Amino acid sequence: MNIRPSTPQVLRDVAEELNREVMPLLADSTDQVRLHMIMAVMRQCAVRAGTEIALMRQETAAYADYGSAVATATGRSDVQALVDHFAHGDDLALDAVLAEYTRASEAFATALEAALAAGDADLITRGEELLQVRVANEQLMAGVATAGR
Amino acid sequence: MDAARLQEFLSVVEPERAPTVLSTEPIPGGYSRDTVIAEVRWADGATERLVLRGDPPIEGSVFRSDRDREWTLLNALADVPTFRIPRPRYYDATGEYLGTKCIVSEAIPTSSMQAFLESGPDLDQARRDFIGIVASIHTTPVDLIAGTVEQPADWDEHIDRIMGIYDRILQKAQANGDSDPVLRYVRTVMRANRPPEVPLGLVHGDAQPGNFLLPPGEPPVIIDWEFGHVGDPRQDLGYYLQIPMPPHLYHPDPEGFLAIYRELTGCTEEQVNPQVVRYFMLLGMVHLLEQMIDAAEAVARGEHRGILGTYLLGSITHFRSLFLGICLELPRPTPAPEAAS
Repeated sequence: MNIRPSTPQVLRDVAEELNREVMPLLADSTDQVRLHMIMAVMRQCAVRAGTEIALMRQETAAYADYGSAVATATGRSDVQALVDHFAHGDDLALDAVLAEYTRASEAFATALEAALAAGDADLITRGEELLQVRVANEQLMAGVATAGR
Repeated sequence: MDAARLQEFLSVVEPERAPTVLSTEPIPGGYSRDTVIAEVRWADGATERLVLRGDPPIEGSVFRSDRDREWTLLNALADVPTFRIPRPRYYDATGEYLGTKCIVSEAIPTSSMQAFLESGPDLDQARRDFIGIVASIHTTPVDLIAGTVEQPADWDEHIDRIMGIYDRILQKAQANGDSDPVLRYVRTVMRANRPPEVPLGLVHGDAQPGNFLLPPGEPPVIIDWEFGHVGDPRQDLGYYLQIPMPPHLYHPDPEGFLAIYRELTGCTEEQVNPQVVRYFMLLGMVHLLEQMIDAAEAVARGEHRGILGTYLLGSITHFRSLFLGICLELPRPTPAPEAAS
C-alpha cells in the first residue's frame, strides 16, 4: 500500500499547488475568496483525515463509561440500554466508527440529561467535562480557535 | 442581475423615465445575498446608482431568507422617524426580469461604520454612536409597522418560538441518524434560565458596524434587513458579541457599553447586563446556526451548497463552543423534588 505521502500530506500539497499556481491566475476578487475557502477546507480535511478516527474512538469509550455510571447512579435503565446498544467493535473503517460514535453520542446526551434531572453534581460536572473535550476535538479537526469570548 | 436584465426591468417599471443602464458591478463578500451596484441614466439626463439584492441559486447557497418579507419590512421602515434606510425602489417579486427575486434600492455613496472603525477613530465616541444606532432601531415604536409586519402575540410566544429552533435542529439531527450532545445540553440549561421580559421591539437581525453606513454630514443609514423582525431587541446585542471584525465595541468594556444602551432605551440593569446579553447570543444566532447545520447535512446527503456549505463547518464548531461556554456559566436546572431526594 502506498502510504507516503499520507492522505493529510496529499491534501496539504494540493492546497499548496492551488495557492502557488492557480491563485495568481485569478483576477476576480470573488474567485480569489472562493479559492481561499477551498484551500481552507482542504487543510481542515487534512487535519481530520489524520485524527478523526482516533478521536472518535477515545470519545466513544469515555461515553460508555459515563453512561454506565449515570445508569448505575440514577437507576435509569433507558440510559443503560443505550449504552448496551453500541458495541466498541474492532472495525476501524470510517463508516463503522462513525455509526458507533453516533450511537455513543446519543447515549451520552441522554445520560447527561438524566444526571441534570437527578441533580447529581459530580456526574453533571463529569458530563460537562466530556462536552468540553468533544468541542475541543471538534475545534482541533476544524482548525478553529475560539479563545477570548 | 446583469445590465441587460436590469434594462428590461426598469423599462417596465419606469417607462416614462426612459432608463439607460450604464453599468452593473457585482459587490463581492456577501455570505447570503447576491449584490450588484448599477448606474442608470434617466431621460432627464440625471444619473443614479442603485443596489440590487437578489437570492443566489438555491443549490449554491447556505443562508436563506424571504425576499417578500424583506420587501414588506423595507417599505414599512422607509419613513420611520428614528433612523434611515436606503429607500426601496423596485421589486422583481417573481424573478421574471432579473432572474431571481430581487430588491432594488437607492445606493448610498459612502462607506460603512466598520471601515470608519478601521481608520483609527476615537473609539469611545464611535461606541456611543454605534449604540445610538442600535438603540434607534430598538426604540422604534412597533405600532408604526404593526399594520404590515408580522408580530408575535407576546414576549413568551416569541421566546418559545426561538427556543423551538433548538428542538427543530435536534429533531432533524435525530431524523438523519445523528446526535448532538452539546446542543441538547445547551437547550436544557437555556430553558432553565429564562431571562426577564422586555417589551417587544424592532430587531435588525444582523446588527454590526458593517451594516451601518455613515454618509458625511447626514444621519446614519442602516442596511441589510433580511433578518429584521419584531422580537426581543436583546437578540441584536447577543448577536453582536460574536462579530469577529475588530475593533470590537463591546468586549473591551461590557458594563460601559450596556450602561449607555440602558440610558438610551430605558431598560433596567436586570433586563440588560453582561450575563443576559451573553444569554441572548443563544437566541440571536441560532437561526443562522440552523441554516449552517442544514447545509452541512445537505452536503452529507450528497447535495452541493457551494463552497460555503463546507467552509462553514468550522463556524458550526465555533458556535457550539461559544454556546457551551455560555451555558456552563449559567445555574444548572433545579431537579424535580422526587429526582433530588
